[in-house]
Parts: sequence; structure tokens; C-alpha cells
Amino acid sequence: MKTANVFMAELCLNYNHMKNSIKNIVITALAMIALACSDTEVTPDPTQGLVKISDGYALGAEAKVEVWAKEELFAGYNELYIVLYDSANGDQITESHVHLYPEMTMMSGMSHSCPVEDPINEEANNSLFPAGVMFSMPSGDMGYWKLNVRVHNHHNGKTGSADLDVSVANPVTPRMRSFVSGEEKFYVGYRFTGEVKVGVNPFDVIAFRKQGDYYTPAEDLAFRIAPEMPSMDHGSPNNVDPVHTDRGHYLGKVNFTMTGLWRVHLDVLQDNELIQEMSFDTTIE
Amino acid sequence: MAKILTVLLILQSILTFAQDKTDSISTVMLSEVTVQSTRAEEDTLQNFFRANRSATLEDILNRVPGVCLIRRSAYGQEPVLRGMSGGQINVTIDGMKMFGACTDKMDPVTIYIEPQNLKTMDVKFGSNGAIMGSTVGGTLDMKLAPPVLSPVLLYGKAGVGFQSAASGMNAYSAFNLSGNRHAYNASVSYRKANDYRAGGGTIVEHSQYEKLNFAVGGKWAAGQDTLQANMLWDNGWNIGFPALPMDVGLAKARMYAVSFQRYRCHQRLENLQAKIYYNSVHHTMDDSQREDVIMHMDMPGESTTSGLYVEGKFQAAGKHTLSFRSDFYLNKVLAEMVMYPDDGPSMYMQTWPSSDRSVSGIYIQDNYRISYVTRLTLSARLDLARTTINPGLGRDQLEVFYDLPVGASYEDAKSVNINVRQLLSEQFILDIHAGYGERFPTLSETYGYYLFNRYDGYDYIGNPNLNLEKSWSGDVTLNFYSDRIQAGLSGFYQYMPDYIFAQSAEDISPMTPGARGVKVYHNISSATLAGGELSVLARLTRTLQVISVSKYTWGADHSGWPLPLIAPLSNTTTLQLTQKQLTMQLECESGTAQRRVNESFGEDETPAYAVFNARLGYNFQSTRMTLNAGFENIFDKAYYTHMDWGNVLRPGRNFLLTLELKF
Repeated sequence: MKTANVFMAELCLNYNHMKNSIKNIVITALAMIALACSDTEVTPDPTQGLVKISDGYALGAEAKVEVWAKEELFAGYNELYIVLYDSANGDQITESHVHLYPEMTMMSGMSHSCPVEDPINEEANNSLFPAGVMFSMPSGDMGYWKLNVRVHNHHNGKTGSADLDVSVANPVTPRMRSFVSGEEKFYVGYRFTGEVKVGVNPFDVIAFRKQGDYYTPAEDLAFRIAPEMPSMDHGSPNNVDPVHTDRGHYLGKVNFTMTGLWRVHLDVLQDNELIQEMSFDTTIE
Repeated sequence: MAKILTVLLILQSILTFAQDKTDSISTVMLSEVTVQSTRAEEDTLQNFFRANRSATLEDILNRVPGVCLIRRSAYGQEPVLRGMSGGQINVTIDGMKMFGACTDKMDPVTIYIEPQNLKTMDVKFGSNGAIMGSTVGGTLDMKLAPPVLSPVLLYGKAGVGFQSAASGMNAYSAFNLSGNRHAYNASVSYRKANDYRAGGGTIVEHSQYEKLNFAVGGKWAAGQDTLQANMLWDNGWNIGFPALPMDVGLAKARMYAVSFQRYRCHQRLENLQAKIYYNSVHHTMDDSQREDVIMHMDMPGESTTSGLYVEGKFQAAGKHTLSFRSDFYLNKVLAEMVMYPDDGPSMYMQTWPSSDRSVSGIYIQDNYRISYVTRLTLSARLDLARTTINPGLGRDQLEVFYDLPVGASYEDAKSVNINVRQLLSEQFILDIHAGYGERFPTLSETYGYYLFNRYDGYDYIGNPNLNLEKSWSGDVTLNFYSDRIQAGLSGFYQYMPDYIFAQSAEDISPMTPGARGVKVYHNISSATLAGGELSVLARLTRTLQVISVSKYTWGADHSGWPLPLIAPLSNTTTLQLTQKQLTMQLECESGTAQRRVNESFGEDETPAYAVFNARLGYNFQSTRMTLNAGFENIFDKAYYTHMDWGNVLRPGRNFLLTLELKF
């Protein structure tokens, strides 16, 4: 009889233990669900994945200016993202006019600018004001770049500008080229809009022409594209020549059929005439 | 019932021994418990040609009516059934699907099987091969030697051989261990050959090879049930391919299978067999042994297949006997290519993008015994294939050519066959077959990526938009049996809509240095194949036999152009003299010239040839030892056949010697 009691007691204990385990599991599961839910409520940092280039204060506009980019600045077409904060309370400014004035001061004392794409909208896109700058040369012994960001803060109606020092690197493979054709000077930058990989790669060519001291999108050009593998002496099929889409941007497709070193040939045409041949190397890993 | 089965098995092994002893030029007899007349004839032929004990599976295959081999090297030849090969035919091992891992077809799965592993080969042509899967060209099923339940505890054999043309040697051993209700067998086989000497004396460089094959099996019987497990390992290395720009560093195959058989599971259902299997092939090509290479490259490939099938037979209901087979397999492939330029980073691509195909199918056959002299067999198969190209580099690179669907694509293939067997008289049997079949494009034809074909010098690119290849086929076989003569005469005709054929794509530049261009697979409107075989086995006297096998295939596309890799009329005639312990063979292998060539495939005309061989076997009965000697290509003829890639010469005068001991 005693044995039976002991047995029953053990059974109860086991039962209790089991009940506790189930309770624990349920609690853990609930906690996980709660965590998962709260996770989704947090808005991700809009600058996630970007690199901070510089910051400063646009004094008159009572705004703090931050400049972000996908990578450190280089000679070529850079996508920039401007983030504005109220300098008093730190709140983000989501409505503003933003204008960029890059300026290279040469050692000779001369200075010049470069092609710019100001943010199209006054309203920030996910707290960011996207813009573009095609730096025409690297900073270094030749001179230095400053990026002047002018802000018309719609939150308070005030205007001011920040003068930011920026450093522009010389990329290993050139990412833009300027050339003169006839009377005109052109600035042509190019970039892969996604991560470069084996397969089909969307390719963006950005073209500007210089008129006086101003740079305007060149919308009347045509491009021919031909990738080549120098060590194999072959190309790739079914590439799509870049076609003008908007504000001097030409979209095409470049196909890489394997990893390795590729040379992309880019011909620039105006009125069906070849005005410039360009090429750049890229290593696909 | 189990007793009957055991008795049958014992009977079989006794028969095996009996037959083994009577004929000194034949290895294990290949007869099954249930023997059909055509099977018996095939077996006789197969056994007859197993005469040469150092023979590879390819040597035997080459002598089967309707079967030819595409030869790219001394080793690794690809079977062709009536002008069809590769994905057009099923090559199965004990009913298991297995796919080579070489993008250049250097490893048809037949190379992973040694004659020591083999019990019998079953060949069915055209859509008639549908029992093993949807097909247009037929099925070659290699049945592996199972462990045998025998009253003898242990028996086996061991042999060693030498051949002069390639200074090659081979050694093998096989044994069977049996208890009351369980049996085990194992075999091991090793071959090594150096560069062989062709007729006339030239050494064919890069024709060497070395391989080791190991197989074990176990069988456990209880009541009506039999459980069987098999494992086969085959490693080949340093395999030269004189007709190709690359050699094979390693070709590794692994096969595992477990099957369960119940003699009678239900009042109605019998011979139920279920099998589950897995096999893998790992194949690496490289050109490290080649000189004058523009750029060195490695091409490893991997193919794994797992599957299962269930088959069985319903007891005869009146004049009908229904049997079925239901199968599933999943094949995964990946083949890569790495090139090493002198300067700059290495280059990588996937020549077979990582992709999967799973196929589920059902096959039903009704055997309708209309009368004692007429039998009608109706069969049908339906297969559903699910094909996926996996996300990643392989998929990305193919998107350069095609908009690939997101996720899997599905296709179904159907086949229907009708066979009539008519006993015309006591000596004549007439077999008539008509059928329709479809086959799925292979993964190589679907997703292949810059696969270089040395024959025509083109890079081949797959096409994911291919339709199924179809086949309407008809064939007639007249068999004759008498005391002295067995003969079979067959004729076939095959009309194939949507024939899959690669066509030159002018706008795509080749990848391989020196390639002439790029070809992409397409469905051409149709192709036609026709031909026939004649086999005669005649017992001239009590000691003298003659066997003669002739085969012919004609092939053309819709516009009348000859199809490539079609063998001309060929014949093998063997005269065999058996005198007590001594057996002598005199053989002539010949082929007519092939002038119907496909020039865009790089073919040229092939001259006729005739080669003579002599073989001798002697049984030392006291010591259970057998000595085999062979003298092949006696006149040292420099020759090649139309199926030999790159017109690489075949071995010249070759002296063979094999010593075998039975225990």
C-alpha cells in the first residue's frame, strides 16, 4: 500500500512538473509572439545601410544637415541622401526645399562646380531627401571640395545654408568621364543600380552638358554598350543599350555570363554619330 | 509459397553452376527464374559475348542487337538504342534512375557497372521502354547480381587479366555466402590501362584510365517476404579522353538501395516489390594533363538521385493479367566551371545551373491472352515532372537569355503501347509493336550553359521553353526457333515530332576559346528513324556454333538531312568451337562506310572496316581454373567507326590473357 502511495505521489509530482513545463512553454511562446509584434512596430532607421558623409548646421534655417551616401564619395555619380533635423528640438524636418552647391577650389585659386540633381520633392521620402552629385574630379593635391546645402525649412519658413567639407576619392576604375565634342563639354557617369552580379545587371548612365557655368541634363544622346572578357576574348549576349528615361538618366542592361574580370565598352552617340568611346573594368565575384 | 520460391532460387543457382561448367567461355549465366523466349535469346547472346573475361560492360553492350556505343575514349562509352541516346532513353540500374554528372556525357551511368555486378541486361526499344519512365528511345535496364540463397555456404571466383595494347591489367573477385534464410554477395573489380596503341602503331595519347568497383549485397528471406539491400561504389580516376579537350580526374559513383518483396500480399496481388534508393555521381574534368592549353580549367559536376518505386502484379482475371508500377524520383544537378587566366582573377560559371527535377509516374500494363497463339499487351504510362532552377548564380546567368518563371514548372508526359505476339507456327513467332511516347527535355537541354561540344566545335546553350519530344513508333520482329537455329529479324520505323536538336545561333558569341559558335536547343518539326536487326544463332555441328548480329539505323530530320551519330550497317559474326574443356572463337566485327553524315555536327564520312579477333578458353577441371586468351584486331588494322568521336583510332593488335579461379 505504501508503495502504491509513493507511486501516486511520484505520479503527482511528475504531473505537476509536466504542468509547469507546459506553462513555461506557453509563456515563452507568448513572449516571443509579443516580441515579434513589437519588432514589426519599430520603424527601421532610414539611414540604415548608408554611410554618413558629413554634417553641419544651416544656421538661418534652424536646421541640422546630415549628408549620407551609399558609399564614401568618389569622382563620378553619387547618390546622396540629405537628412534634416530641427536644431532646437532634434525633430526630423520632413518638408523643405533642399539645394546642393558643390564647389571645387583648385590650388590655382580657381573654382568650379559639377553636375547636380537636387531633390525633386519638398517632402522627404522616408525622412530622406534623395539627391545626386557627379563629382568631376577627386579631391587631393589638385584642390578640395565643399558641399553647400541650402535649406528652405518649410516647418518655420526660414532659409539658411550649411557649408560642408567633403572628401571625394579617386576610384580604382573610373566611374565617370568628361569630354568635349564640338563646342560642348559633356559629363557622363555610369553605375549599376543593384549589386553587380553574374546575370542581368540594370545599368544607369547619367549625362550632363556644361552650358556656361551651368550643368544641364543631356537628354539627346544615345549609348551603345558591349561587355567583353579580355582574357577570354568573348562578350555577352542580349545586352540592352541604355535609353533615356528622365533628366539625363539612360537605363540599360549589362549581362555578365560568368565571374571574372569584365571590360564594359560604352559608346556615346549624338545624332547617330559616335562622339566618344569609353570603357571601364569591373570584377564580378 | 515460400518453399516454392526457395526451391526456384536453389534451382536457379544449380542451373547457374551447371551451365557455368559446361561452357568455359562464359561467366555467370544470366537466366532468370521466369524466362521468356526473347529474354532467353538475349541472354544467350549476352553470355556468348561475355566470352572475353576482361570484357567491360561496353564490350558486351556493343554486341546486343539494336545497341551501339558512342565512343569518346577507351572508357566511358555512351549507349545508343536504335539511333537514340542520352535523354531519349532510360538507362536504369535495377529499375533505379541514375544520371551522370558530366556535362559532356563522359559518364553515362553504364560505366559505373562492371560485368561482375551484372546479372542481366534488359533492352526495350522505342516507347516500349516506358515501364522505366517516359521515353521515346527505349530502356536499358541493368539488373545487378543479387545475393543467392544457395545450399552451398560459399562459392565465388577470382581472376586476373592482362592486355597488351594498353599495357593494361584487370583483377576481380566475386563471392556469394549463403545461409538458410539469408545470403550475402560481394564483388571487387580493378582495372588499369595506359595509353593504348592503335592499329598501325600510333599511341593514342590521353586514353589511359584506372578504376575500382566494389559492390555488396544482402538478402534476408522470411516466409513470403524478402528484404534485400545493395550498395555499389565505383571510383574511376585519371581517365583520358582523346576525343575531348579535357580528361577526367575523378568519376565517383555511389549507389544504395533497399527493397522489399512479398510474393503474395493479397488474394489478388502478387510479386509486390517496393524499393527505395539513393545514388550520387561526382565527376571532375580538368585539362591539367594537356599541353598547349589556352587557359586551364576545371569542370566538376554533381548529380544525385533519390527515388522509390512500387510494382506488382494482379492475379490473372480471366484472360487478363494486370501489372503496375508506380515510381518517383528526384534528381539534383550542379556542374561548375572554373577557368584560370594567366593574369586576372579566376572565372566561374555554372554549366548546369543548380536545378532539380522530380518525376512521379504510374505505369499500367494489361496482358491479354486472347488465345493460345495470340497475346495482346496494352500498356500506358503517365509522368508528371516538376522542374526547378534554384535561385543563385546559375539562375542569374541564364536570365541573360531567358525570362525564367518564378518557381517550378510542370509538364506531363504520356505513353501508350500495344504489343501483339502471335505464334505463327511451332517455329515462328511474330511480335508487332505500335506505340506513342513522350520524353522530357533533359536538364542539360533545358538549362545547359555554354557546354562545349568538341565534335562540332560549338558551345551549347539550353532552352527552358522546349516542348516534349514525341515519338510514334512501330516495329515488327519475326523470331524463328528450331533445334539448330534461332533467328530474329526486326524492322522499325519511328516518326518523332518536336525532335530536340541544337541549332546555330548566329547572334551569340561563343565562350570557349576557339569555339566556332553557339548552338541552342530547339524543337525541330520532326525527325525520322528507321532500321532493323538480324540475329542468327546456328548450331552447325555438336561442337560448332555461329552467331551473327547485324544492325542498321537510318535517321533524317524533317528536311531530309541525316541525323548525326547514326551507325551504318554493322555486323559481328562469331564462330565458336567447343571441344570438351576447350573453347575457341573466331570473330569478325565489320561495318560499312557511313556516307550519310551531318556536316554541321562536324561529321565526315567514315570508311568501312573489318576487324578479326580470335579467342581461346580452357577449363582446367582438376583445379577449377579457366584460362582465357584473346587476340584482337589480328591484322592490326588502323580503323575507327562512325560512332567514334574525333575519328580517334581504335586499339590495334591486342593480346589478352585472363586466368580465373573458381572456389
